[in-house]
Amino acid sequence: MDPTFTFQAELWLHDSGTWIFATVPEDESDEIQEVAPHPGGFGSVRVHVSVGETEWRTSVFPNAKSRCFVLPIKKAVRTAEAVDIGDTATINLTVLMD
Amino acid sequence: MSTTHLIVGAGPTGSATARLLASTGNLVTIVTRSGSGPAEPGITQIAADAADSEQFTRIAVGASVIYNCANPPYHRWTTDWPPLAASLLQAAQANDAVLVTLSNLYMYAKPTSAMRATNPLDAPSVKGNVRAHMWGDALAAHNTGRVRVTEARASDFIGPDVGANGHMGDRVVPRILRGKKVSLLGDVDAIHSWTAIDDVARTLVALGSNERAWGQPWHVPTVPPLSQRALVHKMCALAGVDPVKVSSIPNVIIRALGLAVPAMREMREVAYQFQAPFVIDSQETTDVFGIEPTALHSTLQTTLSSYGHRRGSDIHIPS
Repeated sequence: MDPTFTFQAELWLHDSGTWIFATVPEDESDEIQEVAPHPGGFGSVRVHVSVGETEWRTSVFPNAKSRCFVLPIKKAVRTAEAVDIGDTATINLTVLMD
Repeated sequence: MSTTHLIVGAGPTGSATARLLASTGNLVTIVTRSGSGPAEPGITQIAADAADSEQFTRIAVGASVIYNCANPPYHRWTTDWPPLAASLLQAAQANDAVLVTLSNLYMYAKPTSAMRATNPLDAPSVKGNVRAHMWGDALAAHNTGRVRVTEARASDFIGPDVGANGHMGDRVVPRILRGKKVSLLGDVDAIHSWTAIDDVARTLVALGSNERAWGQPWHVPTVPPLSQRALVHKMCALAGVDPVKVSSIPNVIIRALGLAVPAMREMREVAYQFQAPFVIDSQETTDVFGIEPTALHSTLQTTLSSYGHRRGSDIHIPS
């Protein structure tokens, strides 16, 4: 069974003013780092994510400053789940091990 | 499928990027029409037409980052780039992967000062407009929250693998090693920026893995400019040969070649890049990502040794 994490995170706007991300909390970020199947130097990790009824596959990327993973949340998801910048979402994240 | 880094193109830049990623424990797939690419642990080669959107989107399943290091021949840019770029953008969107494109400086106006990534796009050439449109389409998709994109822009390449296409490759380096005169394009005394292949790879990898990079273009960290003549003479010094004669290929010869060779004909509209100072400002990329350009003498030494030059133990022979 692939490792799964559930956490709450606030949605924030990227510097470029268009994309929106959620930061995976520190503890969960550490655990994801530990279980990630290919802990390469560039650290992106494939994940399956669900927010509300919406599920998708993407990758989380380590943020240089916070040392936490950031999760990109594309427009289609935000529209479907009616969440936007500043909202706190409950996020289910499964690390894909294959 | 467990691919996390998908590279299109196995030329010098695609191959260097694949090696850099694989050497640090990442899984890499490299796609070319022929299925070529570095045969090293961690790198899978796939033969496919990346412009075939349906097929390429399937190949991209499981990719975290897609790197566009393709390089169609000059005379095919207008026909080959649009479908290829659209296919990569589509595949990135379908798989929620980051698209990192390697581009160049063709989309800026003829420079009057060092070019920055914030310069307006005002290409003086057809090929520059092709590149400007590619970036425009990618950025539009980024700005509507459909896909994450970024772009690395480099000047002309130097390094051990630039080969037959490079200004400082097969046409020049073997002649330097034999102490023979070389003929180059345009004004051989105009200063010019030379970007090392290895620095391209380091930059592409940094941009792909760092969310700070996404949604804007970046210039690849590049050493201070120097003229073609100065560059050739630096190589002579490192190779231990007397400075060779450096001359400019007469325009009449270039025109005559252009009649026979399509790629040479395409040189005409971008010849301005070698007729006046052509300089990149890459400081912002160094400041934000901490990437310093590789020292020029080091890039030139590995280039010389790749052509078989051996001189004592101070030459590093590339593996």
